[in-house]
Amino acid sequence: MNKLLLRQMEKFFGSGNSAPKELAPLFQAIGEAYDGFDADRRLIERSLDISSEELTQINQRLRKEVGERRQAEEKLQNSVSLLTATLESTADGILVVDRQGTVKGFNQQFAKLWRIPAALLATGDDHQLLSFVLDQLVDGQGFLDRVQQLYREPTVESNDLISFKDGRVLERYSKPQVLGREIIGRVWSFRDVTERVQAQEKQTRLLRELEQTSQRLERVNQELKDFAHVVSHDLKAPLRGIKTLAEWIVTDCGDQLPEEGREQLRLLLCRVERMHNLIDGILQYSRLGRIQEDKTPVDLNALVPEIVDLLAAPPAITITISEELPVLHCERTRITQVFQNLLSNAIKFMDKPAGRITVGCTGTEEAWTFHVADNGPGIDEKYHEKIFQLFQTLSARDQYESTGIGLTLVKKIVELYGGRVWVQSRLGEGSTFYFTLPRTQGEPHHERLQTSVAC
Amino acid sequence: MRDSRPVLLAEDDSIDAMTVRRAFRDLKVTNPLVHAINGEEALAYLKEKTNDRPCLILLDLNMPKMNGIEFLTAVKTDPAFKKIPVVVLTTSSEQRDVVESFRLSVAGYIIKPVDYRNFVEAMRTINMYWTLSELPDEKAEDPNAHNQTLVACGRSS
Amino acid sequence: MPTTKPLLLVADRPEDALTIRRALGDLGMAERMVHTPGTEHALAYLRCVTNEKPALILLDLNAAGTAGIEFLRAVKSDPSLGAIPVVVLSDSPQRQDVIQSFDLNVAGYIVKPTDYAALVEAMRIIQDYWSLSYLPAGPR
Repeated sequence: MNKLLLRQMEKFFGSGNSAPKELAPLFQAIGEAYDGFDADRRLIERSLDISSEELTQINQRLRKEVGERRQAEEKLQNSVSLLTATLESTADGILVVDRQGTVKGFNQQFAKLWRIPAALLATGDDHQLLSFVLDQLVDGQGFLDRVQQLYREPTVESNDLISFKDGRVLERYSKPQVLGREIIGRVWSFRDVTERVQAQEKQTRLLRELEQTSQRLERVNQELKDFAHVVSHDLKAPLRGIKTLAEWIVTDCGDQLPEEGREQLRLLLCRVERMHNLIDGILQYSRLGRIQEDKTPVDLNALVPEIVDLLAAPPAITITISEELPVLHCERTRITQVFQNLLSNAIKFMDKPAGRITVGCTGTEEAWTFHVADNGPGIDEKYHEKIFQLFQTLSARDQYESTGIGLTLVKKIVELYGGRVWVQSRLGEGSTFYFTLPRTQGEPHHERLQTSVAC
Repeated sequence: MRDSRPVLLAEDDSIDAMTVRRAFRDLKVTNPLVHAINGEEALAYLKEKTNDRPCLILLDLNMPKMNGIEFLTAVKTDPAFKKIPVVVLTTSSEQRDVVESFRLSVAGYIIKPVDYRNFVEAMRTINMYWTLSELPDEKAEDPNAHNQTLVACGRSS
Repeated sequence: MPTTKPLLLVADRPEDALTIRRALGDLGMAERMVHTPGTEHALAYLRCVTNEKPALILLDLNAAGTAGIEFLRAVKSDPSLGAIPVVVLSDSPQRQDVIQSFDLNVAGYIVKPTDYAALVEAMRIIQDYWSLSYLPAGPR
């Protein structure tokens, strides 16, 4: 029997067995009902337990999910921040639009480049924005046309330059915005290339000017060349005539002429010769620096003796080369002119019965220093600069036939090569002419390298 | 020269012309020297039928009105005159002048020596050569003249 | 003749070539002489681009045939060869040949003396003249 019923019966009847027998089926039914209730109650409790467990589990899962979602949101937030930061730190102004042309996003640089006021930006009114933008352009219509065209062709990438009325130039780059496999819009990027464009234009202009200058120089050079040729040729022609006629007069009437007459004719012929040499000298001088020859290795040990030979000094003058001379990489005729002029001067002005001329050189890593020394009359210090000037001679031209060009040529040639020329001399003590020539890369390797001697 | 016909000298410089004349005299060249001062005059001389056809033409290149090259072009395209040998006598040593002259069939290109003595020697060489060489002549040659010049050159026939 | 450039001797008959060569040799000029045995060979030589163009052509015209005149015509009408002066050497002064040669712009027509000494003398005069004269520099 059900315990509860039993307790109730004990309470009412004193003991379990004193209850009327006719009520036994009733009590049994009640007992079974109680049992049923108990069973049900246990089932319900059981259910509740299970539900409670489930709820707890669900709760836990929910909590977990919420936690994960929060994390994901944070990450997203970080990504967005990163993206925004990136967008804002790019040099380019970026505008994102969808396929209909509605503005989806942009960075500050974009607003700055297009100088869009914050208020206008805030309206989000695309039409206003567009007209604000178009107003600044040189070719607003062209800009618009291109934009329309690109909207019609969403896959096309585009790159062009946009010119502003205020002189700025933006480079515009446009690419479709793709998500997955779908084109969802277009990204425009803008960069200020005003400086670059201006620099390019300047460069083009400078190149053109350079070209023009170069052509002009070419023309001038040719004119000078023609002029020099004409000068030389046409100035010399009458000289020939004068010379020939003078010679004929001497031949035909020489013996009829008094000594004076013959002397005058001799002087005449002398002047003609001088004029001829002057013209040649001027021509040579004008050629320097204009005409460049090929540089070749020139062995001075062979060249200088050749020059000495050519000059055919009188036997009273001895010319010696005091040490081994280098092989230079230079224009042969120029270096010949230098040595020739210096040596011929030394010979021409020699006033001693036993003339001594020496040629020598010393060298450092940077340069060769050559000298031509003589025991001639010497040169007063106050003239040491003057003698290198054009047409300067120290004696009357009738004393020593001299064009006054020789040393000028030497100076010009040496300086053209980056060297220096100077003289060390005192009246009555002979002269030493020095000149330096920087050593060049083309020079053949010369083993002997003397340390420089103080000059 | 081989025959006694004149030598036509086309030269604008009067002293250069005098030089040729004097050289002829010194060398005892007996050919008359006809002096034209430019190409036009030289051409006019040739065309004038009453003039003696020259046996040789000495031609300067730089002349006014009609220069040497222009004269050469005219003469060498004219069948009446193209046979006359032309020797250029000039101051120009420009290679293009030399080439152009030979393209126009000159029979020598001589640069005028500056020195008179050398000039005479050059004339001597020209005379020796054009005495040695035959010269085209439509008229019959004078056989005596031939022998005389041979003797003058020191040659035995 | 300028010793830096070759001289072309065109001679049909070997004995002619020999004599002239000997005469030139006596004058010290034979080193730069090229001899072709006939006008056809000569034309071929001149036209071959690898051969150096001569500074002067000595053309030995013998009486037989018109080959010499044809050669002259061919050379003078060729723009690459027309500037080379041609000097004719011949056995006898046929007036018609002389006129025809000068009509074809030869730069001399020399009748070869039979006497060898006189021939050497003639070659010397030729040399003096063509040394004095400038010549067009051909392609080197």
